[in-house]
Order: sequence, then structure tokens, then C-alpha cells
Amino acid sequence: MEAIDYNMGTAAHDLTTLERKDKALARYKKERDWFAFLLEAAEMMDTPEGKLQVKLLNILLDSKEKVISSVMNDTPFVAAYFCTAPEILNAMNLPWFMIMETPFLAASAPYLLDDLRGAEEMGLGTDLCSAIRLPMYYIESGLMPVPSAVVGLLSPCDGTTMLQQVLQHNPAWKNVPLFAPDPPYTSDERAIRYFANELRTMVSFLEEKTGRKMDMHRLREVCEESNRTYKLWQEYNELRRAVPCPHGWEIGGAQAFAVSQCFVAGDPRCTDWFEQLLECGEIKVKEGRGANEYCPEKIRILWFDIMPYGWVFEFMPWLEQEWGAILVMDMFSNFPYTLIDTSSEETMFHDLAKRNLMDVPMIRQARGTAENFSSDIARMVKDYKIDCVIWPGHMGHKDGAATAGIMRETCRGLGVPFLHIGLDLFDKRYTSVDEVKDKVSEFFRGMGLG
Amino acid sequence: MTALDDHIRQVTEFVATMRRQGRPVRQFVLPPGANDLRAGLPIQLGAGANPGIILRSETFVELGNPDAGSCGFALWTEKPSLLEDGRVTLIGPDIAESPLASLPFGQVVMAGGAHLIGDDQVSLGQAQVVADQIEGYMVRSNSRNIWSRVSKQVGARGFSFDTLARALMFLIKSAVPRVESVEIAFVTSSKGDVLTLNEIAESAQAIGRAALKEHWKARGYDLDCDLHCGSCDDKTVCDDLRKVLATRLRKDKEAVGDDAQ
Amino acid sequence: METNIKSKAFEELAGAAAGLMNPAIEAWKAAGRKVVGYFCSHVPVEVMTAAGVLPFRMRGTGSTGTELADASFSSINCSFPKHTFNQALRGEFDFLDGLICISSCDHVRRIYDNWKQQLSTPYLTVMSLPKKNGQAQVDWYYEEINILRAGLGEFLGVEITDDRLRDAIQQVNETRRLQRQMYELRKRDRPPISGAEALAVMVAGNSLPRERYNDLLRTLLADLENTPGRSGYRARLMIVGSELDDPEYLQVIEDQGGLVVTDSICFGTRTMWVDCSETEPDPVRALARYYIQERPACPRMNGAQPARAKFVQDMVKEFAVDGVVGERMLFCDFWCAEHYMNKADLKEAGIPFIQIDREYILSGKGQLQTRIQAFLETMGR
Repeated sequence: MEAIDYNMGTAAHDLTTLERKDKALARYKKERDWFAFLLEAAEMMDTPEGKLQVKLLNILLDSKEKVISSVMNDTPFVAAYFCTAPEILNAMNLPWFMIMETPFLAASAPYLLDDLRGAEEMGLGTDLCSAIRLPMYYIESGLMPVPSAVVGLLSPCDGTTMLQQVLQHNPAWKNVPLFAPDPPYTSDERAIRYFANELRTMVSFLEEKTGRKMDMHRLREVCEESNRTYKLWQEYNELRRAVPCPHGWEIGGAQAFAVSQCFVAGDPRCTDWFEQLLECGEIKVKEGRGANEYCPEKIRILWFDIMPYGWVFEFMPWLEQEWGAILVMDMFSNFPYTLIDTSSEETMFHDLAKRNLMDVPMIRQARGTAENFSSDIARMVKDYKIDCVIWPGHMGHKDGAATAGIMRETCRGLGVPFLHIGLDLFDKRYTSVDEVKDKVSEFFRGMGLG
Repeated sequence: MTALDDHIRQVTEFVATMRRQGRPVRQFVLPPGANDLRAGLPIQLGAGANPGIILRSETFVELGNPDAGSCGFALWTEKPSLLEDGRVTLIGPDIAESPLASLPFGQVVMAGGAHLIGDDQVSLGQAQVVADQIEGYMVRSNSRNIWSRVSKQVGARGFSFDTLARALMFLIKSAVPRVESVEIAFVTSSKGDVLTLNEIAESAQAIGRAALKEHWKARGYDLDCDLHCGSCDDKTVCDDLRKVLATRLRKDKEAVGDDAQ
Repeated sequence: METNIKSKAFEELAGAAAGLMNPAIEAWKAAGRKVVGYFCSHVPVEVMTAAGVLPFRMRGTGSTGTELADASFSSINCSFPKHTFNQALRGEFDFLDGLICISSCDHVRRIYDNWKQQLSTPYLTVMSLPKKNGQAQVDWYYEEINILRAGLGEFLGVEITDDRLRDAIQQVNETRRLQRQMYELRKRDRPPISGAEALAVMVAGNSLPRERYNDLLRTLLADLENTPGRSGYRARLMIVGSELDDPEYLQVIEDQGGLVVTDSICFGTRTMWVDCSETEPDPVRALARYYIQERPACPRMNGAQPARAKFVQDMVKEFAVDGVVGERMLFCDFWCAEHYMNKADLKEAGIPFIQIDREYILSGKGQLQTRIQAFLETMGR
């Protein structure tokens, strides 16, 4: 494996290698420490849901420690994404982190607004998605660990394509090998075969650049474990159809997505987490208990995007307390996956391609033509007895913004109210939380909900 | 000949083949009237009849788990005489005979009506996904075929394929009044048998998808076609269907004209 | 537009660029021939030319608002698709017999979904354009072009043979060659054609029958030999960016004393600086390689940024450019990040650079004038 060059431009020339590594890890460790703090808080919760948070945070922290250790010991690790077949990375025993990790997982961290200001000062347009600007800022400022290789992402949006290019443009990253599977625009068998070939090329790339080899038996094991995880997730999602819904925004929805795909895919700890999630969900359904014991369920929401992680604690509890509005389903909690056929190498690559091209959230809806915006809403509204659909209208979702009319028509056909807000999921300065609350309240009142 | 008559014949031939191959094939005939279908049922029917979900621990029988094999589709004909109204064919064990089992599951709903119109085809497809209309019976969300559960509660009351068939026939005849005859075939014998049925299903579903597209296209909305027709594998199916739909639309207009007079 | 060029050919070309419909299209349609619109310079015009239709590059020229399109798009969408779609909803594109969309960017690709839902153009398709330029992507686009060829051919009832494609490649290459000849004139100390005028000529090339256009270009080139060159400008500028089809935008810049001598834009050099191979035996293979690997890339192609940066810097040298103006339409993620990198690269190369955000329809003229004046001042011009 080639030695990693931590040269970060003229400003870093006088740093020792260790100092450069420390600088690159500084913010990453800060994030690790933030989650460690959340773990301490979760350990004090003596509820089944609290125990679930503890397990989740332990898996997350373990993956972070692996990356830190890889940096310090110069062992291979990669930067990748949840939608670039993370089962493959597990099968190759490659620790990895998500370049866009912070906005997806840690946007509630207290230092986030400072980071956003840093991104603005860099001179990038403020109409570029904040989930893209933040990692660009970290890369340009030398605040992201430089991996052995990068698995790039070219969908679902223009911003992600440019993130890979800014990364390759940066002096500290330009010699880091990068392979980005190319996402076709169509969603047919031809597209799946094409993408499967891209994944095979990705494996060859990783073998060459990291020295880690793919063992098909190991991939089969990982995929089978992943299947076990996903079956439990599918079963759990049935529970959220119950009235009242046993869990709200805090557990079981987006966390399920994170556990299955964002840290380590196809791991028995993930399966175990889902078993426990399912158990505590089933108990609540049997007892007829809703998500929030103090706030009876009055409105069942489909939030058709990621949750507003930048200000989630200011908004989601308010929804429940003020309106009895329970987030029953969201884009990332949805389960459209099919299981991976592990009978052969060909079927595994085929099904991994299908999953990562057509099933994973946001890629599913935004990569290609707009059918899934409509059909997913229709299915979820029916299955989960949804009372209203909220399209947050995140400022970075340009293609989604151009699909708002189609979503509105779909909801009109279904007879459910539809709200398009216009906000930044990660930066509450864009549209203040109070403003969002006002809009949502007006919507609920106007539609006679709650 | 209308588009799916041949598929109905294929299902008939499939049943005959199953019989020849020694599968347990049972057939019985249910009463034709909607109210007669409902009479004496041990379960509630209609919107909200199954308000809750059925947990794993509450499951009497699981039908159509993908691991076990699953296939569900609807066929229609303008010749009701092709079907025997109320006939139910069961190939394999019954629900009541299989407590706690996870059975492979094929379900073919065949509906006939001399005056069926375009929208009825869409309604028939949707009628298979019964949502909360059958007490103790839940079709799982996001399932691409029919993957369902029967609860222990209704299992204890003797829920069987007779019950399910009556429920489905009642719901279909209520939802689509132009249906004159309904037959249903259930297959629970083996995954292989269900997958054989799948071959008929794929061809029929292609026509069904095309019908759905035309249904929405007439409303200015195209559902799931992202290729131009020239490059679409379903084009010949679409062309056949368009001819059928054109004939149907003409008949609808004539019917409206007759009513107006 | 005001011009020094005394040329009937230029008048006709400028006229074609100034609106959507023009007499040549009217005559084409009157003769029973078809017009197929397309978005993005990655759509292979050669296929349309081979099919015998008039390829029309979509623009929102003449649009005064987006009140109809606003129901389909939103406030964070680029104004180019909004204005263009608005024109379509107003019936301004009813002359089209077909439309080829492509997965070019997040905003424009959704025109396909909305157009499909609301309009009934007889032929409508969307092409899947790769996001990088390796051999696998050339192979994918090879298939995509063949799918287009089959679908368009079936719609028109013509067979788009390999021979027809080869002829079309030659015709389009002829256009490119003539356009490059025009740009050669702009290398002079006193170019006979301004940036605004050159843009009008380039835009016209996407809305006229090809033979007619090539004839007009030849005539124009001859006329330009008799046209006095421009002097008295303060600086030679290059414009870099995306969908710029309004010569008036460049006119505003040039009225401040900055003469635009070259560019890297969607209606400019990226469409014609390189020819498609005429020696590759398989014309579809030639087209696939050309559109994915050989022509100057745009930011949506991952991995091609160094080549794009080199292209800009080579142009700066070839055309003796004093400063680069990077234009970007608001909400364009591609050019936001691309200009971020351009700024760093050009700074390192010692080339003055300014980024200007804009809307599709020219607005804020005063601001633009001020910024250009300031830019020229900082260059010491």
C-alpha cells in the first residue's frame, strides 16, 4: 500500500507527520467524543429504547475507533457511502467512514453552526446543499482523515458529483485513489447489470489500492447476515402500521437505516439490534401503547426526506407534544428492499447492484425519473394510514424541488394533505425553527388535522 | 379474444397438470350472491375489519413468504362463461390444516363480466391487496407479491381458504359490480408449483402494468415507464392492450349514449 | 442587436438567435419536415441530423416569467428550466414534433417528468448520460445512442443507417470546423466579431437547418474578412460557464470595455472545439467516444476537472486572454463547485478571475456592469 501523503499545502509543510494526522483527525475525534457523550446519556436511560440507543452508539463508536486506529497505524481504510454496497467493505475487512457523515449522523452536534460558517467563508455558494458544503469544508481545511482510497458517489444529485471533484482537486487528496461507480439513469435489468459491473470494478480497485482481498465466501456470509438484518427490519416496519404507532422519530425509523447501512453492514451486532428493536416494538403494539406515552397520537405523518438533524431536538418533540403528530414513516425508514440472493457470485453482485441503485433511500427517489417520488408516497400512505405528507423542501434537493408538483398531484389523488415547506435540514438559520413550526401549525389547522 | 382469456386457459391447464402429477387438488363452489358469500362467515369484512397488525407471535399461518414462494395476480375476461362463478380451487394444504406453518402461496383471482370497462381492470388488481378489510388477515406492506398472515384468533375460528375465498369474492363483487363471475385458485403445495404459476403471472402482469399505465396516462400521469416505447420490452403488450382499450372505450361511450336515451 | 458587421448572413443568424421560431423553421415545417428539440450539448445531434429532422436546442428565449412553470418547479430550481418549461406551457414549443431530454443536471432532467405529465409532444424520451468517462461509460452511451436511434427511427418511420450517421457526422463536423474558423478570427488583436455577435452565431447553429447554417457561416466568414476589427477595448476576456444563450449578456460585458474573445460554455467551444471521428468504422462508437471522452467536458463528468482546467488555461494562452469571467446560474451546483476550483487554479496560474451569478433571463444589468468595471479595474485595464 502506498504511504499516505498528508501534505496539506504550504500551511502544513512545517508540521510533522503525526501533527498532520492529528489535525486531520481533530474534528473526527470531536465527533467521536460527541457520540461518546450521547452514549453516557443513553446509558442512564433504563428503558428498552434507551438500551437500543446504547447498542447503536456502541456500533457507531466502534466503527469510528477503527478509522482512528487505521489512521494512527497506517493501516488501510476507505471513505465511502451507505449506497456503495457497504457489505463489500465489511467482506473485505475494510474500516470505512462516510464523507458526508456529519450532516447525516451528527448534525445536532453543538459545533455544527461554526462549521457551516466556515464553509461559507470558503466562498462556496450558499445555495449548494449544506450536506455537501460541510464535507467540502472539512476536506479543504484538512479536518478530515485522508483514507487509503475513496469510493466516490455520483448520485443522486449534482452536488455529490461535485463533492468528489473538489475532493480530487484538494492537494492532500489528489493522490488518493478514487473510484466512483457510475449510476445509470434508468432502472431496468440493463441498468442493474451495468451497475453490478461497476461494483465488480470497485472490488478490483479496492483490492489493488488497499491490499485487502475479496473472499466470496466471506461476502456470502456478510450478505446472509445482512439479509437476516433486513428481514427483521421488514418485520419491524410492519409494526409501525399499528395504530397507535409504537415508535416515533426517536427510535426505529432512521436509526434502522443507520444501523443497517451506515456503520458496518452485514454484522451480527446489527441483527441483534434489530431483534431487540422488534421485541420492544411488539410489546408496545400488544399493549396498544403509542410512541409518546404523554401525547396521544392524533396525526400520522409521512416525512418524505431525512429528518431535520440540524434542529431535530427543537422540532420533533414539539410536533408530538403540541400536535400529537407522530412521525410514522419517513424516506429513510421506508423498506422497499429485496433480499440478496446469495446462491452465486453473480446473483450477489446483481442484487447488491439493485439494492444500491434502486432501493436505498434518496438514490431510489432522486437518481432517475420521478416515478418513485409518487409510487412510494402512494404505498406508504396506504400501508401506514398516513394522515398527511410533508415534503420538507430541503434547499439542496433541487431535483426534488422540481418534482413537488408531481408529489402534490399524487397526494391530491390519494386524498391526503400535502405540505411543502422550504428549509435546510441541517442549518436552522436558513428557515428558523419557529417559522417551520408556524407553517406546520397553519397546515394542520387548515387541514383540520389534530 | 380478449387479452387474458389465454391466461385463464393456462391456469386451467395448470390445475389439470397438478392433478395429473398427483397434487392434492380440491374444488368447491361458493354461492354467487355477495350477501350469500358473507353469510355465516366467522370473520368481519369491510373497511376497518382488521384494524390492527398481526405480530409474528400472533400468526396462525404465514402465506407467501418470499423464501417459501409467492405469486399473486388477477385475470379478467369479457366471457363470464369461461369461468364457473364461485369455484375455488385449492392445490395443497388448507390454512386450517397447517397451524404455525409458513406456506408457499399462489393466488389467482379470475373475474369475468361482459361489460367490464377499462377502470375495472385496475380495480381488480387493487382488490387483491385487501388492506384492512378482512378480519384476522393482513397483507404485508411493500410486498411485491401476496405475502400475508392469518391471525391465531381467526385461525381458532376455523379460518380457511373457504373463508378467504368468500371474503375476496365478496370484496371484488362489491368493489366491481360489473363482475359477473369470479373464480379463485390457491396454490400451497410447493415453492416449485408456485414458481410455475409465476410464469403465467409475469405475462399477465405485463398486460396489467400496461393497463395501469394507460389508466394513469388518461389522467395525464405516467406511472413507471421511463423508456420510450420504441425501446420498451412491453411495447407489443401495450399495443395489444391499446386495441382492447379502444374497443372498450367505444363500448363505454355507446353505453353512455344508450343511457342518455 | 447593434453590430458593425455588414452581412446579410449575420442578420439572418442573429435573427435566428433572437427568438425561438424563425423563417427557416417555418419553411421546414411547411415542407412537411419535422423538428425535434433537445436539451444539453451531450445529446448526439448527429442522430437527429441522420434521421432527417431539424435538431432544435431548447432555450427559453423570449420568456418573461415562470408563472405557469412555478407549479411544477420551486424557488430553488434554476431559472433556465423554469423559463423553458414556461414557454412550453404557453405553447411556444408546439412546433416541436419530438423532444429528447437527458439526465444532464438535477433541474433540467426534471423537465422530462413534468413535460411527460403535462404536455403531449408526440415523441418524448430521456437519455441516460454517464457521470464519468471511462470505457464502460462509452459502452453504456453506445447502447443509449442505439436506443435513441431505434426509437427516433421508429417514430419517424425511417431507418437511421450507419451510412446516414456517417454523413451526419461529416455535416456536423463541417459546422464545427466553420465555427472554429470564426473563433480563429477572434485571436486577432482586432477581432472582426465580438463575443456577443459570436454567441448569436453559435446559438443560431442550433435552430437552423444544417445546410442552410453552414452556407450562412461560409458567407459570414467571407464578410468578416471585410469587417473592421474591434479596437479600443480594455481587456480580452474569456467567459466560462454553462447554459448561456443570450448575446445581450455578453453585450453588457463588452459595453464596459471587456471584449469576450473566447469561451467554454454550452453553446460555445465545448460543442465544437474537437471533431467527432470520421475514420472509426462504427459511427455509433465514434459518437459515444466523442460525447463521453473526446469533446471538452463539462463539470458533470467526474474525473475530468484537470482536463477542464487545462482547457481553460490553454484557451487563455491561445486567445491571449487577460481575465476570465465565470458565470453561473443560481442554484447550479455543478458550476458553483467548478468555479470554486477554477478560482483556485487560475489564481495559481496568475490569471484574474471573477465569478458572477445570474438568472437565466438577463436582469440586474447595473450590477453586472459594476462588477465588470471593477474587474477590469483590478486587472489594471
